[in-house]
Amino acid sequence: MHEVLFHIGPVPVFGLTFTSWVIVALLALLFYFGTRNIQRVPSGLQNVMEAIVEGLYNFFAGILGEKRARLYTPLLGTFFLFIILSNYSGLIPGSGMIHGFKAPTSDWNVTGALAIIVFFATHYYGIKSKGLGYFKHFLTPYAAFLPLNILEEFVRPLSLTVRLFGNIFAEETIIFVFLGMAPFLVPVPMMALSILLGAIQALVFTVLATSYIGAATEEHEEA
Amino acid sequence: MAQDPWGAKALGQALAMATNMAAALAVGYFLGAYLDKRFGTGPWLTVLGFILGTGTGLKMVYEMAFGKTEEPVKKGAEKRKIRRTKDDLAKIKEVRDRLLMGQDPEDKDQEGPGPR
Repeated sequence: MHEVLFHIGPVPVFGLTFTSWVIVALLALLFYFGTRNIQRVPSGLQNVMEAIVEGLYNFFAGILGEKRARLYTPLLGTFFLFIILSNYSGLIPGSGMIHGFKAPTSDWNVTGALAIIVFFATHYYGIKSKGLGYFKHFLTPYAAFLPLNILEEFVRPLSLTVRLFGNIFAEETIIFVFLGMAPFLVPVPMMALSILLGAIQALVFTVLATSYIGAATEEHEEA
Repeated sequence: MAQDPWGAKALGQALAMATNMAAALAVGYFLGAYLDKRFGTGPWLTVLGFILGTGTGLKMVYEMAFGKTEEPVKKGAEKRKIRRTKDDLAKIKEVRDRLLMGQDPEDKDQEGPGPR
């Protein structure tokens, strides 16, 4: 299932690993060159970058509030951009011809890694913002809920992993099957649907990560 | 929590409910099964894990639907609020009597804050 493209020392590099590197490099280069010499009046690429960053920031500010959105937008916005590009990478015309090319999010190793980042980030930010009082939430609403609350913390990453991977993998598989049956025009409706699905799944992953981090760092005085 | 931009949070939670329930069952069951294999304790930890997983799933869905309690609920916290001492009762009675006595003439004397 996994195609090994080449080896770095003893470590095999799989096709989807390489694809995700390409996406990361693309994002990094795009944002680097877009913001290299920032003008007061934006134009061209800088305009696009500002629209993306500002849109994401406003979106997170709606859920978290301005103050925390400023802190957590870099992480959460990166999730969104990486996931949506990964979801769409399988839809690029001719991507099936390239040897080893595969949408990274259609493999559960990648989505699992993303979910583990969310898991650690949630607890890190929770402890950072609340200190040891953070662990009090494991006792809500009663102390007897402790095992359920601990189990919940491990359920969340699994749920995030399976949802994202399942949706994208299923979508790619269906398109592949359609292509096998009739390669002309028949897969097009499914591809159109997967454009919608890719955006929704990226949004859902990001929103859930946002609400987990938001719940972990929420201060009661704020309200 | 602040407002919900384009219902995105509601959409996320709605789509998350099903997978959360399934993932909770899976985590509970497989954790129990693994511990059983590790310690050789027959089917007991698997059963316990399955029940705990089901409970976790239900709790997660409940909290998504009805909101989460923020602070740990302390035992007897509500009782203490409701319980009143004899002094309190006497004071309440006194104030109530005074209000009832004073209200009638006042209402007749003045036009008061009635409907204009």
